[in-house]
Amino acid sequence: MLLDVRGLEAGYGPSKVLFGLDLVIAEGEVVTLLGRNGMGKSTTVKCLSGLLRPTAGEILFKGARIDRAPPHVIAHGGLGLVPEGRHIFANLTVRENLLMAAIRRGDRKDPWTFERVLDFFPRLAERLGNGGAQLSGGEQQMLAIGRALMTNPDLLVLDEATEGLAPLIRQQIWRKLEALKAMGLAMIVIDKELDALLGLADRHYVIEKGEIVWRGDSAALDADKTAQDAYLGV
Amino acid sequence: MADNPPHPVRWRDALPPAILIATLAATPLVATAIGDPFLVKVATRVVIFSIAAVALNFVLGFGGLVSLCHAGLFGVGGYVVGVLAWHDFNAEPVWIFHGTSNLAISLPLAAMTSGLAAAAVGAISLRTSGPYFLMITLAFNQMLYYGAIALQKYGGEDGLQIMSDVSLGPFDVSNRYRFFYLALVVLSATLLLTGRFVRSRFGVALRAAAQNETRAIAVGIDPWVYRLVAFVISGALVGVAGALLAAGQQFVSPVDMSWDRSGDLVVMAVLGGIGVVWGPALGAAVFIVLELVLSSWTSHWQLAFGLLVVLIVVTLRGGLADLGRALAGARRMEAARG
Repeated sequence: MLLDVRGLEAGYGPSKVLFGLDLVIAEGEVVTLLGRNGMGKSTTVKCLSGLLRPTAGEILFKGARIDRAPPHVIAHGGLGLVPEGRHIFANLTVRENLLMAAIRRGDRKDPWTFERVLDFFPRLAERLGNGGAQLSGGEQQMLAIGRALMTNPDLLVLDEATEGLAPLIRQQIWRKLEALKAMGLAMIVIDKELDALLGLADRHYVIEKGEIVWRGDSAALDADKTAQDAYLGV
Repeated sequence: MADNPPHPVRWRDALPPAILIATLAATPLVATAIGDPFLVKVATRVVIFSIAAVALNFVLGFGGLVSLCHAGLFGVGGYVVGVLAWHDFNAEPVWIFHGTSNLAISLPLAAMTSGLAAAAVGAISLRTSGPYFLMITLAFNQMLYYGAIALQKYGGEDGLQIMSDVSLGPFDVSNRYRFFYLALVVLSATLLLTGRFVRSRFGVALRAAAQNETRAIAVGIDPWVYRLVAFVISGALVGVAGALLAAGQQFVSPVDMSWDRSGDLVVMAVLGGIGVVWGPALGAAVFIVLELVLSSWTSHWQLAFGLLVVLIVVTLRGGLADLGRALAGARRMEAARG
């Protein structure tokens, strides 16, 4: 298993958010974390990326425990994050945003380089000298994904990657994620656009009040209207 | 590709520091023409404090760290030169080594000693942030200050007079003009070096961590390591400035290590502009000239000086380095109206 999360519990001070969450991801697999707002999706992402220390449970990434590792060590280990709200560096140019995140890893046959990221997102190549704050929402999202790719991840975690984007731009982002899947990159995707997620992902996890309450493949989720109504509010 | 400077040098960025260096380089010629050698003394002080302010700004403007111990590190550099020259003059070895008045030896030693002191200060201070960082660096500055006062063998509170003539290898640089140009070469090198660091991946990561630490950590950057390295580089450079001041005025004193001198360096940087490498050099020049001019008019010069600093910082958010951009903007508005 690429990622194996067992009995994960976490929260903020006295407020507990995750209550024994389990999930697994194989290499090259794309899974989604679904659920309504406030159910623990972003808290899970924070635990995976080391930004929040779990109170119980363990996270194994490529066979090694990472639930006590600092975030920069986790990023160097191959877990890339595209955070909610994009969080690009507004005072750095596109070029600087990308090159700053570059992590060279010797085990890559075809590593993500500056040129390869620009080939993947040609729009960024046209905006290299622009500051992060001068980009449109779609360009910022491309930059956030490009920056995560520069870390040469084995697993890419995307938290609300299409939130707040125009429909046309959302389609572009989904096409890029499909291309990444075709390249064999494992991903955890959190989003609200169920139709696109059903097409992209291999499996789905639904979180309700900090626990996994439903798991299955796209065909099962598409067919299970009860689960959709109960947990996803669609 | 990843090793290339993320932000290539543009001519329009290189022009202001080049003009600044050229203007300073012309000062001895003007001093000779008008027969006022005091001008060279002032220009030397400007150059030396420019080095210190540029060094401080490496961590202040690009690392987001307001350090109040840079005067202490400045003094450490000065005392290395002073102590080595004292041992040279008195023919008394420092442990097993001879003293020296040769800056080719004492300047690198000053940089190393200040850099080591900065590493010790930074390793502890950088575990904190914001007002705590400010207070810890202030405490370290006072420790260095009182440490210098405690050096009774080297003059204690009265400071240490450098009795021997300083040289740079085989060259005698005790001449005021030669020393000025030596300091100017060091300033040019400091601007080039810090500029290169700021444009490198290291500098970009430092700026990213200053903007948002959590975001930087999430892409694999350990801010503590980057900040510590920047703090050591900055400390070593400010130590070189202190060494030059000691060698230039043939005197080193704890007065230049007091915490208000650290404050002066912060004011120089902010006044000139912390967003560009050369801004603090401009700030140091304006600071020293204003200090000189205003103090000759009134003993309450600091009041007028404070008002001027407030006016400049409020009207020009990017400091004096922003003046050119502000004037260009005003001209554009004028043209649009007319």
